[in-house]
Amino acid sequence: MNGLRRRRRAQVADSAEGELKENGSSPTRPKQSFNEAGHKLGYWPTRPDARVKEIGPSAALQAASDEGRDVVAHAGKAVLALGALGVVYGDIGTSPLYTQQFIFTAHRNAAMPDVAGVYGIASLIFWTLMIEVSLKYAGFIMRAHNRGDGGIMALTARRVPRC
Amino acid sequence: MLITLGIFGAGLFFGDGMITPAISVLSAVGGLNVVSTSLSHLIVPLSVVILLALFVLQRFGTGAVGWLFGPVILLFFAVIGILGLKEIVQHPGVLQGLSPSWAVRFMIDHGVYAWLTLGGVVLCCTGAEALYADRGHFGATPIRMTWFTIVLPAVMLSYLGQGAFILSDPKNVSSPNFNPFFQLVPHGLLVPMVVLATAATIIASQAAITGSFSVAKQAVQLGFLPRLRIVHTSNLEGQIYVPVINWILCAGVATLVLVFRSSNKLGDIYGVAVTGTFILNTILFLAVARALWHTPKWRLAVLGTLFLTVEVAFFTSNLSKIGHGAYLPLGVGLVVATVMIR
Repeated sequence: MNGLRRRRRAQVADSAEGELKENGSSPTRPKQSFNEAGHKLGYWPTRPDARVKEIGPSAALQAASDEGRDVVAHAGKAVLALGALGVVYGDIGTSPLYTQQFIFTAHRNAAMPDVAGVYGIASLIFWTLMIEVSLKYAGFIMRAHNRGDGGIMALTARRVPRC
Repeated sequence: MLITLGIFGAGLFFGDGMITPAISVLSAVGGLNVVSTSLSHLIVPLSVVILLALFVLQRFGTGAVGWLFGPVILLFFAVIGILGLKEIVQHPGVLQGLSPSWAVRFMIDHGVYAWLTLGGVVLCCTGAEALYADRGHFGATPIRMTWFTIVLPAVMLSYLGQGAFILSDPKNVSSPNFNPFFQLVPHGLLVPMVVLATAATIIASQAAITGSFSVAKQAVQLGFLPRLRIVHTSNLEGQIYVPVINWILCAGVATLVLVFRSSNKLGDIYGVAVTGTFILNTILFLAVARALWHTPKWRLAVLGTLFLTVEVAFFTSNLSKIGHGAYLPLGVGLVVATVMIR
């Protein structure tokens, strides 16, 4: 299980790197897509231009002021994933402690302990998680960020006009 | 207008930030009731002590113990997954519950009652906001990866296992000791499970507290909050401690535990803020997608309809909880939002 995950992770990383090497002629940053880790491996300024370097701000400074700049993580992916487990999923992961206890106690009029009630509640829970978490947060909203930061304040910041 | 919505969303986040530690620690320590009913009088005092200690320790940051969080939650997921699986193997029929047809049938059969039940179902996705709020710390890919490979499978095994358990002994739900989570645990392992679950909920609470600190910091940076004293607890970026927020949260959480006294009662006030935030996030996301990425309108319409239909159903259902005390998180949200707009 662990080995499989590690291999999959390696593949993801490889494919992102491979894309860069194979299309070596154009050193553009690979397009960010749903399952791609390329943007985690570092920031590549698009088309490094010698002239710009001479007269303009340094590439690092340009990168820092880029609106679309994403987080550049330096820790290993396994470390990040393990860290994310604790911080990100503590709340949603401990919901099984009280969710069904609450539903089958507080909503006895509908959530009855029979096949229709139990399967119905299981189905509602599963599809709520699929639509709200898998599709909306993991799938779509995660794409919007304010220099790598997420959260409702970051989303709001994208709408605040900058000087 | 959109900014006001965002501010109100952040305010609601604080309202939730108080309930998460209270309900989760109470529910974990509540496992003592399954160990022995004679221990039930310990649940509230023990929960308060644990939570107070957590808030007192905030100023030291999570540096010394932070590395434990991941492995402990991983162990927790492994254990709840195995416990659920054990139950599912005995009643494999419960896997049919993964089909959306059962949800649809439930909604049609029970009408208004089914809609009210959504106020309970929403508890399963409280904390979904964290996937996005913590994007800046971990990046999108590790968060997505762990959700699909570890978290979603583990919690679903637990939910389905609890469902199978309820079906195997339907009378149990009317018992005052009904607790489908801890009743899945073999008796000899109950005490270790209470300890593990408590550790997991402490980590969940820590995440909620840290989340409130970072929302406060972002709000200060954006000029929505007056400059608060922010202490950096380590050299790593993101490790911050905001004393004012800490003590407001601490007072709120302790009051909630002492007044409501059980996770079942807190379930009645949890959810309004969560679903309100969902709706605000969807609206903001649609606006950002339209303005920045020029996503075609028909795609936004499809996504917006799907998400908002689900979310408005949940939100209106949760509004019915206002009479039970759900005005509390809403009130906190309103107060914080007013302070930010002022």
